[in-house]
Amino acid sequence: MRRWRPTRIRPGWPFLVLAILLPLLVQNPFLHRLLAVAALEAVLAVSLNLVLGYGGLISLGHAGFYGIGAYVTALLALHLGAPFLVTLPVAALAAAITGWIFARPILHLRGHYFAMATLALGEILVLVAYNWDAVTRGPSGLPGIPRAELFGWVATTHRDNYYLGLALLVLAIVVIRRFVDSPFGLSLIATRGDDQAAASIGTDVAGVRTMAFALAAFFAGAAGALYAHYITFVSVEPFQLTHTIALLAMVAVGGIATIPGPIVGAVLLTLLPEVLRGLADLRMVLYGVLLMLVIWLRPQGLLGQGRLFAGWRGRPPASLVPQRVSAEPNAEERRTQPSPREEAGAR
Amino acid sequence: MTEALLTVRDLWKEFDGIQAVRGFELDLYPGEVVGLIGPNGAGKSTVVNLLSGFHRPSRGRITFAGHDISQARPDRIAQLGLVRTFQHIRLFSELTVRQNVEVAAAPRLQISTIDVALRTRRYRREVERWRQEVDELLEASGLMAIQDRPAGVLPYGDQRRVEIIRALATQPRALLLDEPAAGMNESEAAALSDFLEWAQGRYGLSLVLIEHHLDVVERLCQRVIVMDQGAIIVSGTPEEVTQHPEVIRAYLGEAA
Ligand SMILES: Nc1ncnc2c1ncn2[C@@H]1O[C@H](COP(=O)(O)OP(=O)(O)OP(=O)(O)O)[C@@H](O)[C@H]1O
Ligand SMILES: [Mg+2]
Repeated sequence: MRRWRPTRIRPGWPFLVLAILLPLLVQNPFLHRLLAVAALEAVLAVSLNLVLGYGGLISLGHAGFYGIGAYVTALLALHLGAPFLVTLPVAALAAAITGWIFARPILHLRGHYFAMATLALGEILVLVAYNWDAVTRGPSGLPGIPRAELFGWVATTHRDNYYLGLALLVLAIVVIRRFVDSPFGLSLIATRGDDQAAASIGTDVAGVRTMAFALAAFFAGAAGALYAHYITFVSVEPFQLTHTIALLAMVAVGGIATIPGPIVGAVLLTLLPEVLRGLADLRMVLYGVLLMLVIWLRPQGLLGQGRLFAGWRGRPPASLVPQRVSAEPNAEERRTQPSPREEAGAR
Repeated sequence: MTEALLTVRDLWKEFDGIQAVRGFELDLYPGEVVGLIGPNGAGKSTVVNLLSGFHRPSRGRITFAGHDISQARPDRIAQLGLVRTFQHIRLFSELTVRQNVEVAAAPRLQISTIDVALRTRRYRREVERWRQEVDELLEASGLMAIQDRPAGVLPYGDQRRVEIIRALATQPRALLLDEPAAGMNESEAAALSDFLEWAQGRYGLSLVLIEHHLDVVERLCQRVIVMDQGAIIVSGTPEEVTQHPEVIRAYLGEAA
């Protein structure tokens, strides 16, 4: 049986130093661009993992929150001339509040129904962006967003934007790790194991899940703000379900319910298609095969410890179903076993 | 006479056609231990599910510490101080013993997400208090030695104890224990009785104890309620009840 360890991760400092030095040592704009993208993907994967890995909730709308951040930023910057230091927090809060409002009514849904509700949210957001011409300019998108500016310094190059993304990533890691290591995080993990048992001892199941959902949306929204200032153009494409699926793959490949896993997954899955670029048409096939190999050989992800991912291959993950008594029950215990519906709760 | 902590009036529960509970009544006083016995399918667990908010009553009124909890959510009821355990143990099996207990002590913490993100002074103070509380409980209950073991791999008797300690960590005023000694032999059940007696005395709890082990019931309970087919058939002291012809027929006759 898997034992939950508090995220006692190895110190990340050497990796941070490497992440800072790499683009200085390798002066290659192409690499810088990949790194800038990977940093934002990592923020998204790390935040999605809070809901997915620690909360045990499959959210299919995460890219939608990314989109909220990007569109809010674009509109604020284009119409009000709001500077980066305003767009960033407002975009993050807008996404968090949307997540908060949306999560409340659907958190009582179980398993696939929750996933479907989040899928619907993501699709609704995309449809709104696509059809609300007056505000979002629909399919043509919003061009001309100014570059991020911080106290007179303007993030113009790929490398500048990479450093902004890296800073956000560090912030996301610190905050999410603190959350996971806190009593809230422990409660969240408990609700993943058995939400009814958690409720029976006073855990506000909906409350702690909403908090995790909103926090994840917060960082997705912030990443959207960086994206908008970086690309200087937003349209609906990056905020669709396909992107959320890619994020799920990053979390799964790297290691669900770990802190470094989603980062590794994000970097790998961002770089891999580029590395394979020479293979032309075979590229996506190979990408798919590699993904399947990881899932097959290391279902818990490259850095994962448990077997959470096993559930996606048919069986429910051990930690997502109430665990039954593992010690051998004697005959009498079996006699007094309740029917499964006992305690199943009426609601 | 002091006021009852928990009162139940005319409680009914119907599951598509089956009347699982028919007119259940209870007055539970502070510090009192009441046994609830009856044959399989009598409706005992359903009563616990109703009192703890896991099922909605079809009819009736449940009041706990002055609050009408007939329609309340389970977490709210637990926070008011009425906490149940499950007939079939439900620990967080991937968490350690200590973490199981910590989860139960967490809802009482006075912290916000901001405190968590910024690790404020208040956060550190509250977490310190939380750890100490859990330490004390683990120490007092003798679980300290196994605090770091995953709950799911413990022997059955230990899992039962952890579940009860986890319930105690909420600082309840009343516990609803659904067959805590199920699956135990005589000596294990006796050890559990000792443990419950200790916990009940130490924390001044009221208990509703569902149990098939009559020796446990006789030893701990001041009063026993006997249910059969959803209804209360007798209630009284353990001696009175076990002597009652209907009980001997409906319950003992079947269990023995
Ligand atoms: N969720 C449910 N849906 C439908 N029927 C139920 C449900 N829960 C309980 N019942 C039925 O209600 C009746 C009472 O069941 P309950 O589990 O309360 O009995 P019990 O006294 O706890 O029995 P045991 O000693 O076996 O635990 C039974 O007929 C049972 O089948
Ligand atoms: Mg029962």
